[in-house]
Amino acid sequence: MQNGAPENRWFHLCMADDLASPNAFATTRVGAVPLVAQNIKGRVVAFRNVCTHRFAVIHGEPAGCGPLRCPYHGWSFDADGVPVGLPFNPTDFQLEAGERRRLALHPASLAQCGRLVFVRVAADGPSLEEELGAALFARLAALSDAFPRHGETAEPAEDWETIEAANLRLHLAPDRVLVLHSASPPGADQRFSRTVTLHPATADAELPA
Amino acid sequence: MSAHPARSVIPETGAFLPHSHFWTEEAFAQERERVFGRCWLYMGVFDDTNLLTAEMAGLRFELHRRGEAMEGVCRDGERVRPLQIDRCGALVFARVAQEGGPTLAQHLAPYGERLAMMSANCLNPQPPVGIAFQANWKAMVENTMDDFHGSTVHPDTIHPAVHPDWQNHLVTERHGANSDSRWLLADGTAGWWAKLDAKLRMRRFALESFYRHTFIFPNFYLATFYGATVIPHRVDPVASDASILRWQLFLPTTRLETAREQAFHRSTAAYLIESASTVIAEDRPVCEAVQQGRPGIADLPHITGIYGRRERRILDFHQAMLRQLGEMA
Repeated sequence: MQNGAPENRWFHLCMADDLASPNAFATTRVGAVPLVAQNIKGRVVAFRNVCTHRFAVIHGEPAGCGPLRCPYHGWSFDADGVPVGLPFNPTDFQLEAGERRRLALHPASLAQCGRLVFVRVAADGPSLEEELGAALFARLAALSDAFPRHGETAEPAEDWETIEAANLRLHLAPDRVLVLHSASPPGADQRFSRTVTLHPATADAELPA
Repeated sequence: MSAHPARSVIPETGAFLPHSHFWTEEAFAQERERVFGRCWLYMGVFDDTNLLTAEMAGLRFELHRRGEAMEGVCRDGERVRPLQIDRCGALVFARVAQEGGPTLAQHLAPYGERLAMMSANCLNPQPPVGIAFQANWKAMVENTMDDFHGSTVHPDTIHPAVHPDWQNHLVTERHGANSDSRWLLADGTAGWWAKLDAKLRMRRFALESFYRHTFIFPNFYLATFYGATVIPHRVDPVASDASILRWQLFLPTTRLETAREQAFHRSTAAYLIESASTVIAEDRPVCEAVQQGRPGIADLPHITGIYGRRERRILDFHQAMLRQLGEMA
């Protein structure tokens, strides 16, 4: 993979809250590579979203809640990507622990900036903070912490501040609302783009008169 | 190839088709020339029109029957090549005319006689059906020869229709490129067919309570139920990532005289076509999921997949493809 190739870049995937509950997942695609980030028993992990048995995409939806289980033959995977549920293993495969580890899902890189979750295809490379730069990383982290509440959809106005980072475009109306648009990475279908409207912990409307 | 002492096979590079064969134009062009431009291919069962046509990988096959004589051509743009045509019972096969190569009987071996016997049931033809998949044709061939996705992909259709102890009743024969699996039907399913038989007096090529699946390289399989109904299927490549599964139901009866019998036959055939379409609609998403997934691990040579005891037919198909693609003109 070349340095500037999409596989070597970080892409925003979702908010940390989206992966807070057990079995919650979010998926995307970078170039030809489907990726998944999933909460497995409280651990959020990221892999190539491709079953190592017969290569089906495991989670077909951009987001949802359900075990990391392939729809084709029902192989399910643990937080290390190792197949742990193999229907018919005693009769058809007889895979022991070492062989199962050999069939583990291929890991993807996962990083968080405040409450923003990013993924990358390549296992190695610069950290998210290095790629974004320390100042932008800190700003995004602060903003994501300051606007924790999903709320009513807002349309960005022209006078709002716009911040761009990776595949993210943030529209900020200070102290009021943050609209976060996450474009689908190169090679990904439009259904992998996401827009969320975030509000401060306590909205003005809820303050006592 | 490393084989597990008992059951599964993790193939080594060279023992299976490279992943790229499932989506690249280069591989598609190679298959068009070396597989669909050379192999015996199933064309269909002649009807009153005495015409059969098929399109596979951009090649158009046109066959005519005049009395007992059959002739035809393969059109490839401006290029027109004569066809060799032969039958196996009612099943008509053709290939681009060439020196050498197997006869049809050799190509079908060891299933020629059995196919001919089963094809005697190609009676009462229903309209052909074509269902488009956004997947390479080989992903569909793999799916159809996969004997154990019933519980996950077809939990409410095929799975309850076969015997609950299907694992012990499933019999698979492998003969290189061609293979066959047969499943014992569940008692309830067999009972349903028996009632149908009592009403329609079906023609049966064998007194058996099986679902049979006979695969003939490269893209034909014959499904049969209860030793009576036959459904020839063909997977037609349309593009490197698109295919059409074409099939035709034959519900052979010996009693179709009264209007009531004809109406019952019509409604039964409609029900069977709907049921088969439901099953195929269940297979489509997983075939398309494989089409989407394969490119995602193509850069990881250690991910070669694994083939369990009931998936060996698939690896046989890969190896037959490798042989066919490696064959010189």
